[in-house]
Amino acid sequence: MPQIKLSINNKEYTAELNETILDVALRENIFIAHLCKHPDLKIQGNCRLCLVEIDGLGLTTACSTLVKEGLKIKTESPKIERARKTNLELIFSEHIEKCSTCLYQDNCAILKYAKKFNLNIARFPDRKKNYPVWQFGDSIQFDSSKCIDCRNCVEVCQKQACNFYEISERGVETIVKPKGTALINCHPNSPEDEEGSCINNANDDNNIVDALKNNSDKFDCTYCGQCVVHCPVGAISGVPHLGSVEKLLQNKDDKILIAEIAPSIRVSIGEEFGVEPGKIMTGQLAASIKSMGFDWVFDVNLGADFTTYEEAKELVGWLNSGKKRPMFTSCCPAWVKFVEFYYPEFINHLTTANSPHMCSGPIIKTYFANYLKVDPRDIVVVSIMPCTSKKHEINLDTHTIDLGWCLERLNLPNLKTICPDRKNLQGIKIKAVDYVLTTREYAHLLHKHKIDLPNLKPQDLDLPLGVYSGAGAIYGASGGVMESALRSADYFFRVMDEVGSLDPVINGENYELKNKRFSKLERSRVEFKEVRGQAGIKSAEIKVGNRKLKIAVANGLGNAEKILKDLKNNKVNYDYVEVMACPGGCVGGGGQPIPTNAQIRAKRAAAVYEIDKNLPIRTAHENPSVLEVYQKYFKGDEDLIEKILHSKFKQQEREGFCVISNSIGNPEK
Amino acid sequence: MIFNNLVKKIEKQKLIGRGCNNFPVAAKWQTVKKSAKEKFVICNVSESEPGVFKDKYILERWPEQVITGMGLAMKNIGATKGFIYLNPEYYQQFNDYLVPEIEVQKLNIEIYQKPLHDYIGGEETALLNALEGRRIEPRLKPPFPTTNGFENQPTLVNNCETFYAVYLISKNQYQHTRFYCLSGANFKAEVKELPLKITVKKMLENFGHKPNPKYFYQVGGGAAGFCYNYRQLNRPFDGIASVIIHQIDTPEKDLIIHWANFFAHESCGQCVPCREGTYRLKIILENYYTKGIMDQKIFDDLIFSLQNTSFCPLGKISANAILSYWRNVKKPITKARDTISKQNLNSKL
Repeated sequence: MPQIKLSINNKEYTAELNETILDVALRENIFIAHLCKHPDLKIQGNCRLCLVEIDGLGLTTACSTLVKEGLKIKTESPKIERARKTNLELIFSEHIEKCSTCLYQDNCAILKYAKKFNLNIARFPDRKKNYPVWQFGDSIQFDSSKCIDCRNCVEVCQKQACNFYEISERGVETIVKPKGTALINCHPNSPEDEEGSCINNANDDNNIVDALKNNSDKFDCTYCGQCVVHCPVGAISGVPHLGSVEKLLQNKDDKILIAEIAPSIRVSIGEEFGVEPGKIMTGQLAASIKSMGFDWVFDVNLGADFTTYEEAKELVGWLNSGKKRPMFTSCCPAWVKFVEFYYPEFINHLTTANSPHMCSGPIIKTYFANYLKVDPRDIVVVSIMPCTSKKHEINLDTHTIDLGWCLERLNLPNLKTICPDRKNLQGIKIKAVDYVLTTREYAHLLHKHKIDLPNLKPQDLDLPLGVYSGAGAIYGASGGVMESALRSADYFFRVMDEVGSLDPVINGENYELKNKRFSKLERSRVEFKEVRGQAGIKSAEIKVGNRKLKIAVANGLGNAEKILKDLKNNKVNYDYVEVMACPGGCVGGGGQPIPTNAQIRAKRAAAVYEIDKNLPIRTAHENPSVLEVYQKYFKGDEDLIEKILHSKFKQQEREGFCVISNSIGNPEK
Repeated sequence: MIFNNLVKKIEKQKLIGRGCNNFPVAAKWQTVKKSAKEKFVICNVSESEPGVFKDKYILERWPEQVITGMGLAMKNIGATKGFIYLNPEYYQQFNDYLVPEIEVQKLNIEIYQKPLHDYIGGEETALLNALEGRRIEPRLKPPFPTTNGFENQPTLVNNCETFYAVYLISKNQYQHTRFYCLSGANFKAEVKELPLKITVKKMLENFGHKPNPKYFYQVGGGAAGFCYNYRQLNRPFDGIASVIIHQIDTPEKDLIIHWANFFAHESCGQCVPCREGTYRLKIILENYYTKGIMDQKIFDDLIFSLQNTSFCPLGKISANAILSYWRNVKKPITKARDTISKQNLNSKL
């Protein structure tokens, strides 16, 4: 790109011809207020805040103006100040401030601008106070009374191939809403409102302005939460579980509280405390969880090792059978929902291995309950996740535990004495995981209790469920699940070839056997760098065991859809495909700190691989905690493994949304 | 090549687009022509500005010439397809005449009915969105339709009258005239073909009207146009060639509220200053005329923001009529506003 020179605030800068003024300013650390511009998305230019003054041209928006040789730009002037202030005050008239209950308050751009520019945020009366709060399924809440109509959610949802949001109506009645919403009389002009005035709605032919025909039943939310991380004003959030968890922490009531931390939150939560993205905080997290009053803190990385173990086992079986390829990963519940709703013809291609916290959850409530000698119903498991769709996953039928069945079938001597009424427990189902806090929610909890995470003295995670391998650690990055499974599959294929079955694997004998019987086997291949990185779709041919596998890794549902369409049209064929709904995988998840963008995702991902590199054990099949559970607990009972560690999928009807309230405060279900 | 000569002829005749942007036609054609991609030609007959009805006048008389003009454009720039974008009312009226004529001339032109009889749908990029079935609102410029238009392909969008002028130029019959519209209360709506670059006064005289203090004159459209008193008409037209004659004693309130309502109603809702600003402006003015309350500072800030930061021309022109009315037609208002604004500095709208 040719370089040009321009001046900003009387100082010379060089820039490339395809850069906008805002690009240059951001790069050079020159302050320009902006709101609707997100680096992941197209330039929209609708908030009209990033105003600059160009000599001879007057005011213009920096986000949408390309640089030119010799431009003389000012970023502050009385004109800029006046227009920017007016536009911000207008934006505030579209945003009902609920700061005291808003998780977003520490990151809120408009709140920062309000302070910086000394705004009169009530200069124009609030227009949206009667606007509804919608809840999508059991995961996402959209408070449209906070929405400033910037449309980032609409675009990101389109990129995610779901198109669940739409823009409706025109002018001041423009509303961003989930598809299929009947228009509600929430505009100040509706008759019941005192402030009502004179746009005549009665014979408004503009109501047909949605040129796109709706077919709303064909669209549903997958709860990926990308709209949440791309909303600049906190109008969209995960369904809060924080209130319930706080109540339990205050009044434990003889419950055992267990928290488990997801692979990717340890590299991102620091950002909520002003630390650079990618700072590894495992020890500090453990310490903070203990100081909050949890009894135990475990690592979902261990759950991930179980997932890997089962998934690699399934992959080896799959590829040795005549089953139709590819096998898809299924540890991302938004991706699973996407397949179940939009592409049900691919349901049979999903591995049935549970997602990591859905492996550790049931193990905690059975195996670990027995170890503790407590009734599983007295254990509360809270997963701290980078994800909003995990809030949906924990409510799925396939992830409940049938207590009666457990006591009947499992060798849990302690539980049998604790629960003498076990005959009556037939059919009683409990949740494997009770609550899911997003990274943001947990950070908010710490802020509230004035716990300064970065300065805590690191602690170890608790045994016996705290040992994990590098394979579990890399689940947080796109390609991580694939790489973990390939590490183990590489080994399992050799076992298969030598023994003729996977029995040693099912019995958890691998490690022992490896030292005795399989001594001839070289150490498994560990690093599969082909699947790493932030590219939307990665594909490769990889030697695993003695076979060559064609694999693909997609992150972002839009990219996943491309693969599905290509598979449908026989344009491509793969043996194994990993999909993460969010860009970059879980490091870019819908529950992660805001802002999240490509640069930040890359830093978080790099940290996850750093953890892996420094661990003594880097494969799931070498993790002693995993092998112990297989040996002492599952004892080769495949039926049992199936019940505890595998899920069932089915075609889903639209779950849609409901209007929950418009009251400030407690919208929790 | 005859077609290459046409662009030169257009350039020589200094033909300016007959929409409202005063853009040289030859330059636009050349930009589209340069590209090797698939190209489109669109004839814009949205005619959504109140007080403008010359495209209708032309289609009633010379539909085949307009189509020929389009055909020449398509051949010249190498477009594969053309569209005639008709507002719903015109679609009803002209579709049955245009279709056979297109067949006779063997052109690949589709007639497209504009979804709404709205204002912004006539803006060229909003028009492209409408054609593509998207939400009807303007796109960011650049890129311009000449390089990234319909389906992201280079697209030539010209007004109906422009294509008629192209036809005349190709036949060496172009007389440097254009079509002027006159209307108003107690005036018959009329179109006349008159020379380019005449003054408003001259135009009115051609229609047989002598400017006088019983009226004021809105020049350039019933929404976007500026208001002048009878002594201020010795000026050329800038853009739309339309005059609306208002009775001087039309109640101020009716006029102002009408204009404010128009833009609040026609705003597409895309950008903050226009979505919110046109609405707030309307509320402010209603309160002013019903309760006598106005905060001058808020009013001025809103206008400033609308004029300087709106995404597209709709917001920028939304106060043209109101401000020029107060400046040129009825002055006392300013003083009244000042006293009121001091008393109500702290009140909300």
